[in-house]
Amino acid sequence: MSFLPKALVTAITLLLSATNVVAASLTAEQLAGFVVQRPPNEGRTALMNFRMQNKSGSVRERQAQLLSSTSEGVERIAIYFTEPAMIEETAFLSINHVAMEVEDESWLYLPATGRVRRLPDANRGDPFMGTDMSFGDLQDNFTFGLDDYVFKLGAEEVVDGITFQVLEGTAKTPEIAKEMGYGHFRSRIDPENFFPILTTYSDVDLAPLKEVEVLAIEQVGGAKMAAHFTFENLQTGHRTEIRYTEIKSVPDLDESMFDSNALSYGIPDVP
Amino acid sequence: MKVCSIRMRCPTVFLMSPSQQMMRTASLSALLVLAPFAAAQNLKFDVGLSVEQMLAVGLDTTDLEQVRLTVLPEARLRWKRNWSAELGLRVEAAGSDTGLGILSTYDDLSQPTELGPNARIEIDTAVIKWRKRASRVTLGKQTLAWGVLDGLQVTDRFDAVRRREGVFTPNRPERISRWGMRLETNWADTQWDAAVMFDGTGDQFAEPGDVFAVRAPRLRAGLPAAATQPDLGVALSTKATAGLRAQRRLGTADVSLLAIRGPDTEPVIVIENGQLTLAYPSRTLFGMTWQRGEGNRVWRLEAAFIPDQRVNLFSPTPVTEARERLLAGVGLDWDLPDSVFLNLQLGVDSISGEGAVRPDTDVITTLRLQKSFANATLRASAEILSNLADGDGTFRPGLTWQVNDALRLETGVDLIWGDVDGLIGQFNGADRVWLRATWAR
Repeated sequence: MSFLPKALVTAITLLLSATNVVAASLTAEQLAGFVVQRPPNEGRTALMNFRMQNKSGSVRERQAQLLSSTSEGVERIAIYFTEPAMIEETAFLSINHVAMEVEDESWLYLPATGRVRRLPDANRGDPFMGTDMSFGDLQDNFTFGLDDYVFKLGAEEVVDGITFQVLEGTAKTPEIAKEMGYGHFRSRIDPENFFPILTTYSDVDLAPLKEVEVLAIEQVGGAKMAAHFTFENLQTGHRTEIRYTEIKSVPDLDESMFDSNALSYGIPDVP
Repeated sequence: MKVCSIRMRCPTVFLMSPSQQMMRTASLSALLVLAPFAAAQNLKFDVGLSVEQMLAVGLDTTDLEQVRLTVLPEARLRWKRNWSAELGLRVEAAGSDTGLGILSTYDDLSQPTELGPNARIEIDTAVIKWRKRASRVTLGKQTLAWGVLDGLQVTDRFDAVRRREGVFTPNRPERISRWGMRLETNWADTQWDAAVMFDGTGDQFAEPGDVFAVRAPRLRAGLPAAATQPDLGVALSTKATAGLRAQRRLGTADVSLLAIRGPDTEPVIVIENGQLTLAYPSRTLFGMTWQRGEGNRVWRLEAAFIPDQRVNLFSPTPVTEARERLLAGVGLDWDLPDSVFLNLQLGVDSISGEGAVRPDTDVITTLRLQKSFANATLRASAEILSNLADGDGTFRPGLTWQVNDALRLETGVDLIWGDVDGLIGQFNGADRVWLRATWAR
């Protein structure tokens, strides 16, 4: 992901919001570029509510406090689980560097061990904490890696009177497909904010794997965020619904909030 | 120093030192005073409860070798942005040959209260915490986990450990909390961690005659495994344990240097007042840790040097001598495709000189492989621990089922091989199949 100056991105976004006609004239690569270059998150906190349901209807629920920020090419995500009791106080920290040469970091605090543990970088296709979201999905944050796919435009779709561009991508190599867990995707892109609001991923054998639907988008500070979305595994019937509540914009979240050593301290007190 | 029998709880005649009394009184008073104050301020208060039932059947005897119920209630308070308090209790009851372990290795400060011959209640956590940004002060009964390896205790030698089930516990080491204070802060891009524990609690062992009672000569001052264990006294130290650790990023690695000074939690056997006695002489540990991520692998390294490690020597009557001890370990975590996780570790523990009842060098290896299924509701795992010096080890396959948000079922088998003189082989014959149910709200 590359970062354009914030003002430029904002200007482009406003311009495009005003004239959806422009979106319709983009090439596939340009459209994928605008999805990636949505205004970055300057700092936010929210309560994450997970609802996981299997094919037989059995439901598991999780609640966690989220802190996240993106600055100077580093995306930081801290997740402190608060419910259920079985995983309470478990905390996860992810530090992702835009620069490919800098190693990303993941840390996990498990109360039972009393220790903050550095984790190996998960394969991007590995599921995140038992959800239907993969580590790659978490890091990509509703974007598609420009270096990962060959893009093409699909036929436009009209839903409720709104015309949506359709973006498709095929993994550039079998190795990339294996790493991501995805060989192909097809996504309906919202022309106003460049969010992929309905995406179907196929596995490395191009069999339908996962459907991701964004149900609500909220303006948080200078950026929009998906506030309610679902991930459904089309092969197992398992479904994860994630809804953010108590969303707050907290620009310039202090870096100490993302200190791996402090994961064991519990949820930090955000001003 | 206090002395009492290994078979019984220490009598109250062994009173706490003034500093110990002050520490416990201050911590408990603060909790008692601040808790209602916090509650009156209408501040955040939550409680939790966890219940664990463990059953194990011996594969050789087909006897029910372990029945244990553990109830862990806890309460947490948070007030004035920076302050919080936690109180956690451990209520245990056992009705089998795998009991709850001896009590005489607990300091009076931390002594569990017996509710009956096979039931007791213990304070697991009783702390008051203050935090601001990357700094935290913790006062009270707590554990302190240092080191980066899993279960291989190279630098992780601050806490006393529950060894009443040998190495056959879900988490290793199973720590025993102690009374003290800890300060963590970040200064000059370095994470500083300083702690002092005014609590002489040592490692806990199984009762004599229990399934996992110590039998290896190396842990009994050379007494042969077949010989009956004479009644042992316990002479805990009243000296405090202090430690300091500095951790920082060096290039792409996380590095720490640390030092610990205080009574060893692993005892030696001495003769005191004409009785064989477990003693806890002080020692100093200098250590370092290093860990680095490399894609889907994390490498970990630890080393420690103890210049004054007391060890028992072969002798008709127990004799100890201070030796130099060097410990080192390397570990690899590897996230393999298809959610398979591999953890591989190698540790070396060496002492100088000759004539000690333990081998000059222990070489410990651990291998753990696990895979999750069905959105992490099922997890299969297999673990091999072995000591190449003793030629013994254990193989522990297991299966975990997260039934719902509140209930988890685990089952597994512990298969043990090796000579009875070995660290793990001493439990040869205690092969078992087990079932553990955990419920938490």
